[in-house]
Amino acid sequence: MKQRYGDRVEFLAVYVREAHPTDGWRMKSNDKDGVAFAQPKSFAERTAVATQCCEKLKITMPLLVDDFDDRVGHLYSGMPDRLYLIDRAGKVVYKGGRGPFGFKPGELEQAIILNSLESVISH
Amino acid sequence: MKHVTQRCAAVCGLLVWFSQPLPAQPLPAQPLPAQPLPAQPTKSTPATDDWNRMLLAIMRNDLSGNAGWFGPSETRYTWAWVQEHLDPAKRGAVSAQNSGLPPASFDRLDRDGDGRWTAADFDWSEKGPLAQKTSMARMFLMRADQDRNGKLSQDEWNTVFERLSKGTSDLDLEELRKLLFPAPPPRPKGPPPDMPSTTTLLQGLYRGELGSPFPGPRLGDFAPDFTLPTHDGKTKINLRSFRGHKPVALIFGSFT
Repeated sequence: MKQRYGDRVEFLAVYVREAHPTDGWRMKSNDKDGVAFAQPKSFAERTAVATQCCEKLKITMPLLVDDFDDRVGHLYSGMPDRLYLIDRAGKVVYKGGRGPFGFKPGELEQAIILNSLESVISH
Repeated sequence: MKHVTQRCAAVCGLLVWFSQPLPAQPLPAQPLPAQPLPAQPTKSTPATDDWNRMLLAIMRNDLSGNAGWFGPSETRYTWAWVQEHLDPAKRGAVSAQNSGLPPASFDRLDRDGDGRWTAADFDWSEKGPLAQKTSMARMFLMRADQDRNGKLSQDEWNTVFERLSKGTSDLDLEELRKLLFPAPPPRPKGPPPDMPSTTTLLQGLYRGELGSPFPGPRLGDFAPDFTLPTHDGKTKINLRSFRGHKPVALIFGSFT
């Protein structure tokens, strides 16, 4: 999606609290993929895990690391994962459901295309 | 009885959790967001309903997505919005020509591939017709996706064909039906082997790993401002800097 729309929309990833740490709800599927981390105990630890995530998943958009007290995650109710689209005026025009079930990239894409269309219609 | 005893023990053990306040949220350095951020969910906080639903889902061992706080999404760009702007005569469909979009973009939103936008293309619920077809496609993909990359390669397609055709060069109608709509695998009895305990789930709820108790901004609100560093520490990005320039897509998540 970033490849398709990255020229007109800024994609920002926000790295939040681990959803399935080894000291919480550990997932075997994560273990099989070699993704096994305890919940980071400091901002530096979280940044280190985020860096590994960025490299393994080849994330090309800016990966922002949330404050260790999860301030931005709570501001946006972003955990465990969630999608938003904010228009040029700074307003929320799409708020995805909470992940995992509510995390639907297709909905975000729909909002991106129609937001772009709205900009054209309104001019 | 064992389950009831275990759950009672889990609840009793979690009295400590109930009595502790949620992690204190430091006041943001920038101006407060449009919606005040309470220190804890209260009766007047919309998050309380979400929270209670998730708590009940955990106590009922229901993480299917049908219970709990998982959706639906909210969007400005509903089918009603599309009709208001592109189908004022209420014909029930929007053609590519009427959309004013290039074909590639139009096609992305023509989810059922019928060459028009209709209400069905904007129905993201789990009960809509597209959701059921997607579910069938997902089952096919799960059986065919050998390298588990979430995509079907031509080799994987050929492997499925060869397995079902048993060396012959074509499939009849019945074999094709079995190929496209395989029977679901038998469900093992009892809870899934990966199912965490109620205690683990409740800990995840209170630690913010299952989700945040706060509701987040509402549709139409100004997005709360923030400044965060990139993972490599080379720069800091401020959300408000994009206002007036570009829309911003925010993707929240973690490695696990």
